[in-house]
Amino acid sequence: MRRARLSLLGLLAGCTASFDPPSFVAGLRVLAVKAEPPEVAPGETTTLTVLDVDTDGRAIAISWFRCLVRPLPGSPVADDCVTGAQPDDLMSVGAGTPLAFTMPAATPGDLGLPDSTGGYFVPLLAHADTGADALTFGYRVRLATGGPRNHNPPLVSVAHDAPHPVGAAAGTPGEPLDESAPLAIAAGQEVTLRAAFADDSAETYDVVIAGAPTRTVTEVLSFAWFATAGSFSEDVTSPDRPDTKLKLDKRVPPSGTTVDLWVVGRDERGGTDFLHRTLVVQ
Amino acid sequence: MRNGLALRRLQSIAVAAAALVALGRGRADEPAPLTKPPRLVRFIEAEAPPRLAELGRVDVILTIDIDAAGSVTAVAVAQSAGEDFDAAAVAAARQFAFEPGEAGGRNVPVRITYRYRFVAKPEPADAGPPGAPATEPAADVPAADQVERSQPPAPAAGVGPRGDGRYTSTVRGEHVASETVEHTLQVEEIQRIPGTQGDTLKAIQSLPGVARAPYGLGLLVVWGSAPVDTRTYVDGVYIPTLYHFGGLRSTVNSEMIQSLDFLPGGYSVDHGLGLGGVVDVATRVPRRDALHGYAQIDVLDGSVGLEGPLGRDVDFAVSARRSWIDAFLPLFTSADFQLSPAYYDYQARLVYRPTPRDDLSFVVLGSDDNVTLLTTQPDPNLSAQYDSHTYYHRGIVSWLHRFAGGATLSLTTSAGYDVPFQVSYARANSTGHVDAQTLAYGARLAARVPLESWLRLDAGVDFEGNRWTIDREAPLVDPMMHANGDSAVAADDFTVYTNHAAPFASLAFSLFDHKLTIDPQFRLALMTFSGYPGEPQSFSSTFARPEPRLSLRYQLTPEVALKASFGLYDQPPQPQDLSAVFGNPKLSPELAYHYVAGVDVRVTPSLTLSLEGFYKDLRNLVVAGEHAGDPLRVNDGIGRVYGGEILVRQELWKGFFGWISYTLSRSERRDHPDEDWHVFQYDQTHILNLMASYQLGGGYQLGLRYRYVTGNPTTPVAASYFDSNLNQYVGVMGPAYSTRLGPFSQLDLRFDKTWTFDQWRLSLYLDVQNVTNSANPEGVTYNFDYSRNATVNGLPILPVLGVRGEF
Repeated sequence: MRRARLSLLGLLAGCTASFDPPSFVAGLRVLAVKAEPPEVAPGETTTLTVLDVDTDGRAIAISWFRCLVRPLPGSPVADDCVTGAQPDDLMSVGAGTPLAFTMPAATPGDLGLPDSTGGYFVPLLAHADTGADALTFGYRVRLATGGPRNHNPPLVSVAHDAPHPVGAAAGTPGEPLDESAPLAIAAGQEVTLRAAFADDSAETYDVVIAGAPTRTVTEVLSFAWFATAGSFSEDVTSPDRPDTKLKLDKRVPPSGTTVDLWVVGRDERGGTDFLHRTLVVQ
Repeated sequence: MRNGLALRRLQSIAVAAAALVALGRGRADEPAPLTKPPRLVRFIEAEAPPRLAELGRVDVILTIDIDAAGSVTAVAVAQSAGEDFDAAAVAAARQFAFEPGEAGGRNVPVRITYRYRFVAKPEPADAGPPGAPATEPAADVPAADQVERSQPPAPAAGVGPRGDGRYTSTVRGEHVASETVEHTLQVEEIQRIPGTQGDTLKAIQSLPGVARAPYGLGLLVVWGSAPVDTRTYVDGVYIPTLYHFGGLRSTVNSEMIQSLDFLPGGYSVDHGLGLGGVVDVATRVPRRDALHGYAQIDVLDGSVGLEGPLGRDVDFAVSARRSWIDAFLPLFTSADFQLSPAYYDYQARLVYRPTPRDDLSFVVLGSDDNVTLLTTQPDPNLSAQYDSHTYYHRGIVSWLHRFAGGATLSLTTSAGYDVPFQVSYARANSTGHVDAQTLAYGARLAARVPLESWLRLDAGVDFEGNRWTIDREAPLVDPMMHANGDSAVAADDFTVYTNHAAPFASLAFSLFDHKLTIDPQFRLALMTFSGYPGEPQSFSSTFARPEPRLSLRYQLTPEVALKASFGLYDQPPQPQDLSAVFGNPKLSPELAYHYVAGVDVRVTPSLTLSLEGFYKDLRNLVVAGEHAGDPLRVNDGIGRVYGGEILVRQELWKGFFGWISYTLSRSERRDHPDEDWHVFQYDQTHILNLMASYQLGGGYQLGLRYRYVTGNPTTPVAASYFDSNLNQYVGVMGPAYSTRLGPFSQLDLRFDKTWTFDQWRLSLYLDVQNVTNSANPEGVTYNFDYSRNATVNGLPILPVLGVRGEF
């Protein structure tokens, strides 16, 4: 499978079109899939929970499939499974969210070469459908191969500073966003947001790739930010540089309307967690 | 004494080999090599313009055509010193008389390059007699061993006049056989082509049959072949890297280049190992009259050079260049984005002539590119560091011996060390590297033997060997593009020996008063690949591939020649593709059949037209494996390329030169037997080039270049899905190269001004690319879920200012 990606060549041109960023949520979106636990051995079961959104309020039907085709090197999932060119390549594994998925009897040799973390994955694809809109998403369940297993990095909080005019000096985000008490923010203001994982969320693991020395590394964690209005200064942050500014400078809904905010935490090995908060436009 | 000054006309110094522009290669229909150069027997003193009093010394470089009787038939200015000096020198040279040159026991027409030097001197008594070649034969006209007869018919697109059975001076002693399609560029022309900043090898991209690479990268896509299929040689020795940073500058300084031959296809047996074209660069022969030097700077880099005699029989030339974009680029970057590119290159040549019949040449050259890209972002997936250090170094020793009967024997040996590809990256916990290094060694022995006036034998043997070590830990596909931790990763560290030997021979029959040339040729390509020595997965394979080739040429009239050629060409797989992990040790050589036919027309002595049609049949191409579980690289691919091109070219005439060329072509590939044909990645249906340069007088000259090409093929995104592990959408590509970008259209202008002082000259140039600021599409970018896309445009208007001083 060839994949479209931003390449170094693209950087040479130095100019890109102005598109909505992925952090702006409108219509049907799937923002994350969380597997609990994220790494399982054959015969063990994990629970898959989808963070899906439809800003038009439509019900979302989800159907799950396992891709039976071994992907070509360089791609996580075989093309035919995505395009549906060969229906027999997909095996239904259930519907809805959450979904219990049992790891099939698979060995690393069945799943191709490892990714850069040394992991082997069983690829799952899913269709989200509102009747009017549909999209395809995927999650790769990590196969436990005998070493210490991965865990999801728990998200514990989202903090904010006092909303202030865009461009004014920001404060330190110390006040937690309360799911039950939306933060009020006016059009033209911005608020600095900071998410946090639980302590010791970054685990260490061994990268084992045949022909290369084994390396022990610590997981790199990240926060992905999403909102139904405004724009973020950073769509993705990390525990080392956790702050992003949500500016209510565009796509601002009417006063009194709620703005949904999500933060998705990830590690490199399929570990995921997410939180939802709300803001209200003054 | 004129205008109160005594004019001392120094002996007219024919430009030494450095200025003896290479106007072409020997052709199969050459009747015999030149055995005696023309000798100046009547010199006419030019009337010096009044400006000479303040300038002191002025040189005008002339091209003089001498007929078989020794009379001057044409004079052209090859290097101007201003209208007044040009006119005076030309008027005088037209009255020269020569003792004619000889070849095969008879007088023959010859073209020489001639330096007419004006020197102001107050003492009339010092005004010497007309330069007598007899006293300084090597300086006044090219000696017999410095000239070579060119092919009688007009070449396909030679810059210099080479037709009509004349002889022409050349710096190349050994070219084996005839070329059906050959484009030769003179340094004097190259340095005036707009949009290239005087860069010799970038000028190739303005020649017919060369597609424009996306983003202006230095990829040579010749007659629909992949860039890697076209090989570049310096003094007959292969070099791995043509450009710094993929197109910024040539790795061989233009100042050290004597001439450049470009063979797009259907070429003769003295070249092999490639399915595409050949770029053959000859380094300059140092000037022998005095010490000369130059210094040049522009916004990208600076270079210096020096050349001259070291003794009676030894001359040298040396140059070096260093970029300084790494010095000023930090002004435009930030702490979160740092880019540090730096490059340098060097060339040196020493020529020793132990006897009048022997030339020994020692050349060293090298190139080094180093770049670090560091991005530090809150998103750990965007924080990354890329480091790349690529280089090559070459030492070349060559010997040429000229026998009394006109035969020649040459031996060229070379050795070097290359790192043509090296990159390492670190992004989050994903690290990887590709480090390809090679010890390169080669030798070439070639003989040219005129057996009869109508028959010539060229024969020799080529050897090119490499010891590669390739260490790679990276995604299996495109490590530079997929270093995101989402791709299957593997590692391999292996050694592979690739050795290629090829005996070759060519018999050139010149029949019917040299009107018909039939040149059957044969090359036996012997290739061995041995990998993983001493390891369990060791392999060794040998291939013997006969490569018959044939060249025909018929001189229909003195002005019109018909031509055709056929050839079989083999190309070894790329060494990294022989990896047991990333490639396939069982790969065999790729294969191509070239068919070329056309006509050359010399409209005027300096205006030529050439028309060619070509077809290439490509087989056994190395492509990616089709199915999971297949070897990553297989010989499943085939291809076909067909098209035609026309070139109208005005050689330097009254200060003007230029050309217009148009190529119509189609290049297609089929990757696997059960797949459909698709257009080649760089296929361009229409390629139009217009180049013109004119000396305005007074040291001013103006040039323009216009290019129009069909947009490059692109592959659309057929579907996409959100990959939750990666937090990004992944696009699934549709039919390969089934859509196209919009056309590319660009006008470049170049303006030069030269001031001539007593002992040196100062030049200033302004090279403006994309004068009309056209928004030329170079690629496609998508939004996050691939539901929308937009065109990525190339560079806007880009002025480049440069200054150069020389003495």
